[in-house]
Amino acid sequence: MNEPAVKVENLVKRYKEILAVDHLNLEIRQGEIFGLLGPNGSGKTTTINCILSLLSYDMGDISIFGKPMAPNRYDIKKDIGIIMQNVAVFDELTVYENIDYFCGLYIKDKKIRAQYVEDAIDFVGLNDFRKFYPKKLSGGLLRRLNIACGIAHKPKLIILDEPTVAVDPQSRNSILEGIQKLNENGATIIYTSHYMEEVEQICTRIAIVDKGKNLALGTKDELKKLIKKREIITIDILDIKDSDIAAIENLPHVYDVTFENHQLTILCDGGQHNLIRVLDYLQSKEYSFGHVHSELPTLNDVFLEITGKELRD
Amino acid sequence: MAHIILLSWKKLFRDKVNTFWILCFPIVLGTLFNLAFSNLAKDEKMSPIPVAVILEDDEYADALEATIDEITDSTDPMLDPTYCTMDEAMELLEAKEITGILQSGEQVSLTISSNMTNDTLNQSILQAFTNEYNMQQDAIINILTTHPEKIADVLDNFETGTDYNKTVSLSRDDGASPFTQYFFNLLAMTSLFTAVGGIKIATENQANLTPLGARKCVSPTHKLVTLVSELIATTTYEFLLNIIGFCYLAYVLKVDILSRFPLSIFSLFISCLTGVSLGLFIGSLGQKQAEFKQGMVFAVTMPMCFLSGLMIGNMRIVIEEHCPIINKLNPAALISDCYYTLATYESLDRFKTDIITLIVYTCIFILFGFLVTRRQKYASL
Repeated sequence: MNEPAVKVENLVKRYKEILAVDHLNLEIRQGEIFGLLGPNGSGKTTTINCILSLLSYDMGDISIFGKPMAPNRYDIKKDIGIIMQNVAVFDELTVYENIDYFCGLYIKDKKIRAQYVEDAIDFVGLNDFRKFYPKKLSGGLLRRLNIACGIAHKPKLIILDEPTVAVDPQSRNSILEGIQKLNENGATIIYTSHYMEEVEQICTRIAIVDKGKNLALGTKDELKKLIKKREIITIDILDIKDSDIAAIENLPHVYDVTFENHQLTILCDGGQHNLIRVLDYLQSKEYSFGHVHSELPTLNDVFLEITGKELRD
Repeated sequence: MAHIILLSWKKLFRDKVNTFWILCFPIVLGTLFNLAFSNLAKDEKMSPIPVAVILEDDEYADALEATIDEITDSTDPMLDPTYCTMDEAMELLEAKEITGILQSGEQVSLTISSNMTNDTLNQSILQAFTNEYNMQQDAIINILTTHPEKIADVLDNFETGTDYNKTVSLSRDDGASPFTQYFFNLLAMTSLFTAVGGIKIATENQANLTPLGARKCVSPTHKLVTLVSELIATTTYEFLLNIIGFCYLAYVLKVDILSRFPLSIFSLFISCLTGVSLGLFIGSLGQKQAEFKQGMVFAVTMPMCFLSGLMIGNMRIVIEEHCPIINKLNPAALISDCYYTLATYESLDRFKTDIITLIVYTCIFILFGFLVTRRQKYASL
């Protein structure tokens, strides 16, 4: 049986009076893309730094590939790739030299290293920029270089700490596709972000954290099932009688109906064909309606329902 | 290790700001010093001392006149005499056209003005001349009176000069310019400024100071390997830059710093190592950013250089008189003293003491820097 890639048990980390990580438990399976989703200051980066043994912590156990993690566990470190939130490259070295430098900290054999560096450059699409200095690169290209420096040694576990902060949409998509490719090639990915769309797009399992606590854990569908709101139907309509609003509220799976500014909003807690049933009812009462929209819940809705606040607060 | 050293050299070579300043300091300041001191050296040339000579009508006047004519008749005369009466001489002295008045007699007398305080050196020379003249005159008269048969021996002695003190020359080069000391201090300052490179080593290897430090910390390469490699790369590179500055001073400006070349270069290397390790030490202190710590380097090294005499030439002598321990502890003074002792003394004892003190400093700085920087787990990032 495969050991978990990362196992965090009862992790507690304090910064003086502030409890940054509060009895956090995580188990990240080998081969998955694991999302750590939470607002800024929720303890994601602190958790990552504890996993990497960069930060001391007050309590808890951390193991990677079944081995307890410690600062001097070089046998574990050689299998980890880290892409920091802040770009960590040398301004005085070219794209090629930067990747070569960091790859050299992991791979001693010159020939293998040269091949790995080429592979990393290909992977992030920096072939045309290999002799460029970081200062000459755009924000997106710089992020790609940052990623290349972290993955050139072909690690088994890759930790990406908000790698798309301040990146344009095109580069963001390129980075997300790259992460999926790395995962397809066999790497386990831990991806932290406060962008729910990104996490939703690429992660196989997600942990929602806030104030250092693991609030919910599962696949995106599992997480969405945790909340009551499962479908939001909005219909533009000139007017509607109160008796009809009450009748819609009695339709199956409908648990809340509001009418404001000529917009009817219907919240459903599950089930199928909710929209058809609502539209059938309105047509039967000969209401004319305009724009119709049905929306499934997002992770933000999950976060909102669990914590009572927006994810980007 | 070789991989890190090689790429670190590339980084250092492309760090134009550091390279520029380490090269610029000895070249620009050295050139300025050279221009300033060459003019001063010209001003230092001795000129004849203007003096009024009054010859009284007695048997002593001829001897004084003959003596003065003798010392005035050379290509580099000591005196510029004006033979006149006492009244004329007093007028000249009041007008500050002469330094003093020599008057013949049983004892030659010297009259100087107490108002001419800026001419004390010339007044002292005249005083010494008068004393010597009177002493020799007395000796000759005394011998002629008591042992006239020995007058020839006495005159021979005066001719050759009898020296009862044996002079042992400790000096290797008596003709060394008094201003060379400034260049020694300039070399010391440049060596200590390599501390900026040491700051970079410290900050780029600590996860709580830079993202680069964090990335290095999570790699499987032992921290000590990275630190030692970067220390080697930085020291050798800074040493190379210092050699260029040293050669510029020695071969272009012709500053007399080539005494015992291998030992001078060894001093240069040790002083660069001290500078880089000082930077490593300062860079390891606290969680302030690299820029702040670079400021600290200048705040620490400039007073050191001031105390070693970079700005005021005789500062080290003043300190030696009042608080000699500072000279023995100040790295800038120690570096400067290494070059000075190599240029001045035959013996290497003082040089060895200086070098050993610098090596001890270097060991302390490196040890402390390593102990702090090798830490791999932090309370906060």
